[in-house]
Amino acid sequence: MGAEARLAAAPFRPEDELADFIAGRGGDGAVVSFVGLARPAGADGEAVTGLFLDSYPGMTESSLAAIADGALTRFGVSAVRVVHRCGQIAPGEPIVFAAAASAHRRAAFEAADYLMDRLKTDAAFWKREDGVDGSRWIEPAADDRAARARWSDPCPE
Amino acid sequence: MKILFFGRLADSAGREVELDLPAEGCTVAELRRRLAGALPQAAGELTRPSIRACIDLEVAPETARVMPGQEVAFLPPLSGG
Repeated sequence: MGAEARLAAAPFRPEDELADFIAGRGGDGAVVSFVGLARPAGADGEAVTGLFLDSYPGMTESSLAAIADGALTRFGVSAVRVVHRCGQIAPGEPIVFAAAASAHRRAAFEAADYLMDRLKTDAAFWKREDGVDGSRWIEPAADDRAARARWSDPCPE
Repeated sequence: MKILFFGRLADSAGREVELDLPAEGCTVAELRRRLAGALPQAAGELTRPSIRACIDLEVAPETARVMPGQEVAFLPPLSGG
């Protein structure tokens, strides 16, 4: 089945993605998935009224596909799916769904962990947090960079 | 030709701008200077070294040549997803 990556301009239902992903499995014993949600408060504790993920048509989809392919190849899992929102996102809404399937659980857990660490730093988005006092554009956090460095891949620069 | 801007850069430069390029093209560095001249409100942001150019969806160095008809974008550092 391979690696699937999709950019979603409108809200999606992670439970439907998971059900569809599981239904497509043939013989795998393990499916691991992650859902990222838009938090209602920013890093500074201030209320966030919305999140805007700017994306570059063509480049953003390619960056998602490269990350999904990377997980498939590195961990030898049988399938990977990434669904990532772009555009305007409300607090509480799903931003990303990332899943991996394999014969046994270890590879699927590691692939899902890797997918999220890479998506947090290498996916071609520009994120803006909107609050009551205005908006600010976000850079990757130190935690995200450290997590990305765990996997020792060369950074695409 | 169309030049595209993303992220915080689009706040000051807009999403896209039309610019005439000579038939022989120009370097990314020259294009950056011309854009800063054409969009004074975005000049400060555009000339930061952290802003990178992309030609036909690939990051390009300042010395790369831009030809009319290519897709060019200027990008701030990625936020990630």
